[in-house]
Amino acid sequence: MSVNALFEDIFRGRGWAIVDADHPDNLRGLNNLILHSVDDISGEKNATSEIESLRRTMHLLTEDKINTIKSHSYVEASEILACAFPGTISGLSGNEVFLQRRAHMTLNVPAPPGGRENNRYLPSLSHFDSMSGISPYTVTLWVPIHDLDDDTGVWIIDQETSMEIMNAERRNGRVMGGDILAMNAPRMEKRVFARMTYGQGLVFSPFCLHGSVTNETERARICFNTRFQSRNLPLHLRTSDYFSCYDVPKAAVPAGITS
Amino acid sequence: MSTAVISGDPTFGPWVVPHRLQNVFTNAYAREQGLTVDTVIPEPIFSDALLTTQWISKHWSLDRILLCSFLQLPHKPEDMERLIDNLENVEFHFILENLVGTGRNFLGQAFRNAQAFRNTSSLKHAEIECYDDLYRMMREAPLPNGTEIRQPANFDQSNDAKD
Ligand SMILES: [Fe+2]
Repeated sequence: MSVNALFEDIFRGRGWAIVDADHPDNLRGLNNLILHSVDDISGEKNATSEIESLRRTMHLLTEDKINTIKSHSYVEASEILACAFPGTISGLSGNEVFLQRRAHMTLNVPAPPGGRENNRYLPSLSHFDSMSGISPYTVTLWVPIHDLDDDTGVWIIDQETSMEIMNAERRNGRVMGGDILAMNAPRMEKRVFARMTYGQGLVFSPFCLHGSVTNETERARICFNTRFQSRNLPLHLRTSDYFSCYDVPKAAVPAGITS
Repeated sequence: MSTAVISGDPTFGPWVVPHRLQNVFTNAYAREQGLTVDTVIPEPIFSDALLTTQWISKHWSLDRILLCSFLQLPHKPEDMERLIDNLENVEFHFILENLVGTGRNFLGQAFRNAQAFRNTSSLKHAEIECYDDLYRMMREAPLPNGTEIRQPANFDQSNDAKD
């Protein structure tokens, strides 16, 4: 996808796109972060040290271990993502950006043997990222660390439809009501599930409703996501508490991206 | 090891953080980190030079300073230079940014980052009443290289997600 087409898609069009990493080898760093955190935390050497194996066994970990993996601070993850996708960042926001200081790591883990007991399996509820106080110019980059060929990842609704859904709530005097959270609001059926191969990521504007559904498969879904915006555009309520300065190395940006 | 928390001008960055809340915040952080707070330094409003802190450090020798944010550092380069000269051996904790460090490089970097945030405008006081207002702004976002967008002849959607 050309840079202009990507910019058009995100800021003028449907608000989301699937992009290829310019430097996919960097993403191995994310896989290693997870594998190391599991090794450190579970105390059990992951036999194959492979993500696929981990995905199939993650639901056997205890509640405490899952929570520790979730709350681990993956300090390096945001820059790893930026190093893997410099063309995407540069094409959407230029080379001088604010980059989310700490990327989020999210898991969608299947039920353990014996079934579901608690909110460990609560999917990510419908929302759009502008609700958190990031500026309207902040873009989200959502990257699974494995192929995503099922519906355990993220669902997304194009931004024009998302705004129509939100404005219908507003006419009822609400910001986000139970109908949106329960996925019963009119037009919520427009959601599509992002599927991609390892080495790709989903980028989306802060006005695309998105969320996830309970994982009914045998494998955990593991993803990292970060956010970025141009340093030449205004911030909203999230500033130095959330972002740090990041300069996209010019040499890392593929030819043809001129910003 | 003497540790000080600073409660400064409540207005910094886009926030207004009352002194009491600054103290609650820095003390909670200290507890979490296992640090004992020896003193609270009140800095006056209308000043970001942190001169009281520097004066106290000269007379009582501070080893560690906890600040809510690096946005509370001096705004003027000459004030920041003086602070670095006087406090380069003190360990700084910027709690909102989750940064800890000591020395000229660390403080210089924190200052440059703080300046980047200060030099970026904020929508906080824009007349925004709803998400629609924000959405309209986003639709008018300029291309990062400043050129007008042109729709390519072959609009490539081959990477679209499949539902
Ligand atoms: Fe989100």
